[in-house]
Amino acid sequence: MSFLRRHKQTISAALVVAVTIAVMGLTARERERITYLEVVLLEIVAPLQGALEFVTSSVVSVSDSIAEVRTLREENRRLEEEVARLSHLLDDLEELRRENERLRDLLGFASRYPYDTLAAEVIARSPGNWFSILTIDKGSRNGVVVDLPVVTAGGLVGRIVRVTPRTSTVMLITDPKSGVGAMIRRSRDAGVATGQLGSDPLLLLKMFSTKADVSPGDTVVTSGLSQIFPEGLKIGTVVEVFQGEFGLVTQATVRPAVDFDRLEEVLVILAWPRGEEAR
Amino acid sequence: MWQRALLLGLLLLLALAAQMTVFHYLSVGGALPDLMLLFALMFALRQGPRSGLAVGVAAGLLQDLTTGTFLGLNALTIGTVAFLMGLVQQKIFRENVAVPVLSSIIGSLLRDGMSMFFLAVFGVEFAVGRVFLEVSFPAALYNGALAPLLYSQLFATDFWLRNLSSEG
Repeated sequence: MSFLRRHKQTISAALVVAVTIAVMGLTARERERITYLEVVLLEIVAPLQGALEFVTSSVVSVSDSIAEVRTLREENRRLEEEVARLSHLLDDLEELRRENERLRDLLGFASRYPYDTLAAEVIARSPGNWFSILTIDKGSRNGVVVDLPVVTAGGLVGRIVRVTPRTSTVMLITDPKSGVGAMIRRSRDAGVATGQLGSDPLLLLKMFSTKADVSPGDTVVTSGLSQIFPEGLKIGTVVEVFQGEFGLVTQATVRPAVDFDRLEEVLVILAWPRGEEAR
Repeated sequence: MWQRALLLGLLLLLALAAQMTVFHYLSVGGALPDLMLLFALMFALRQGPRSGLAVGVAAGLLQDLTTGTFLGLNALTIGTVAFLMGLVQQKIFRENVAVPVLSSIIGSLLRDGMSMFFLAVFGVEFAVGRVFLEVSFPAALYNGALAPLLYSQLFATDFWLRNLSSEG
């Protein structure tokens, strides 16, 4: 009894640390529901973050504009040429699209349905160097639920992992806990693209087959096997191919298609055709 | 007393929001400063281990709840580092400008070391050397550079509040 009294503080501290580590372990996996405390905090911080993000991005935008004034004339001339070229290209593409539609009809394939998407603004980013998350300004009130894919025009961004009424947390594909079913667009060889800790946001692509046909420069897209992401969303480009431990697996580093530092708006895919529906 | 607690809470919320927004535009080589840790360290240096521990746990918990994963990781690491630095400050001349700088650098590396240990324990795979060189070391230097600024600003505010309390 006297031992307990003498070491009361040490024992209390050890207990608190043990409980904290246990909670850490329990929350290491993804949770279906978040605590009320988290909802309250995220809802309180969101307007503050929104305001700060708006002010900062405006300042950055203005300073960028000033820096670019010198090159604006040259840029303008180049863009005019580009517009003319793209107009021709658009005409060609329209022709191709019509031809494609006709061929699809001939083959009896229905056109793919467009995704049902929701535009959202990025209002905050990771609070530290260990995890890669984004906070967006759309939540359960807008129909967002956990596990929905998030994209930009460039490619896959990540998926929703937490939702409050007015905000959602997106786990980026570069987060060390993220894993995306992927495949090489050219060879259709499949694998899993996982995030890694580090300053350069490269993904690690672990192929399922040791004989996978993968080369630097290959485009990596979602395989659709996980059912979380629709098939064919661009993930990135293969930078380097190497053999994993003991030469048992083929691995590759992949540079994501999306510049995560410059994300301002994203699209949440609310629904997409799956399985037979997609065909 | 309650005014100081309220102000500290507001400052922590503001720092957290700034870390998730403004500082992403000011990252150096991809490294973000750790304002939550800096807050706790500054309190530990000025007011001792108990204050450091309390502010560290509160700041870490806010960060944990925002991140939503490995709840307690930041509270435990920031709280512990701030407590240890608070113990050290009792034996040094804290007015020296090198103290906040060095404490921030050492504290950052210590916190990252603890974080890496727990992440590895819970199955997160990473290359320790690469993470240390690319993330921890630049972030520690960044924290060291910001520390004197925060140290002076934080305690100018605290001094003002103390005067306000005594007048009231």
